[in-house]
Amino acid sequence: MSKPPIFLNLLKIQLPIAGVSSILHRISAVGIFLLLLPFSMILVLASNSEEGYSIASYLLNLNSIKILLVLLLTGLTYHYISGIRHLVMDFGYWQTLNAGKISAILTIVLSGLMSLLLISLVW
Amino acid sequence: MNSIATEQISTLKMSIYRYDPDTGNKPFMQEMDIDIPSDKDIMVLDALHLAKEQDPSISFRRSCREGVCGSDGMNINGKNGLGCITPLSEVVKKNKLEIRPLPGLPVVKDLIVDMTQFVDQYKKIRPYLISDKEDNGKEIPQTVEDRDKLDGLYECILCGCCSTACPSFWWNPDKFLGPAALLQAYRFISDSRDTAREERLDQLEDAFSVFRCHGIMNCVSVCPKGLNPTKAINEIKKMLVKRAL
Repeated sequence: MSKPPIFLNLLKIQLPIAGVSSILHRISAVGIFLLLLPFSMILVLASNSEEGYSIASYLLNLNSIKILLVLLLTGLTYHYISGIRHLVMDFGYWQTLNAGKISAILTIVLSGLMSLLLISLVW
Repeated sequence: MNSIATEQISTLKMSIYRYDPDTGNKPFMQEMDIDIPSDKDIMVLDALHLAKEQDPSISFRRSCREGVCGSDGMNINGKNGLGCITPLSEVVKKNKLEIRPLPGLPVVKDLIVDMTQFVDQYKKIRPYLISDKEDNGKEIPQTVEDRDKLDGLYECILCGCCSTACPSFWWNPDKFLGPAALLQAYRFISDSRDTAREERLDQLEDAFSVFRCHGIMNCVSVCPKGLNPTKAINEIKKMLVKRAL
């Protein structure tokens, strides 16, 4: 007998905003994991010698690197704010559906605003 | 022709998940036009019955038709719910109604899923009162305050809408207990008459049983009884952390 099917088409299943916020939390973690090491290496390079500083400065002026930097900082900001939201919930607050929705929306909006600020700082 | 005792009729476009294990064919969505009364609101289950009049081979579970038995949990336009207490006016968008089985569980036929994984997790939490006190054949007294602690917990009808809306349960249905079982776990942990509180918490103290819940509240948003499994799970987490400190 063949294996029975399972309906699990994620495009056909509604995901409430709190779920979207949770997925973004994970995506931001993956982004941070991938980008933190290269940018840490640039930081080490910049602090080792004058020549290293010049190379790091040149790299950080490239638009492609600036985009990656903004992505890293946005990811960190989102992960940080979302992490605080989770901590608040762990302490027993914001546990109703409405509070969960509002806090998820605020997390996303606040991170978006911070991201705009970061873009203006980086460029 | 559908038999509706009404004068005002409108047509609803229904799309129903079909799967028949006997044919060996893959699941598909069957499109149907259903005549429904336009002068009153009917439930999703009523619409399914009308669809069944057109095609009697459509299979789904139902029993009490009033949100008590929990038989007709299904995915309605992307959101889990009970067909019998979900009015069309709440879910129909652009005159379209898509019905699929509860997500994440093996499909037996059409909208009928195999609930074994769900029930197995429920069994694990030992959903009954455990007392080491001598059974003298009388009731075990409970204060009004202690009884109040069970409100919002005991009302669960085990329809499975919450657990099958939970991504953690989809990915680990054998390890993560799921919101329904955990709500019941907390119901017995909170019961002043139960004396197995510590054993129950011991059983939950691993990386998967409780801690796979990340508080996304899908369970709360779909519960047809308006219960809050996320809150119950967080209470269990707090108890486990307090014990460990």
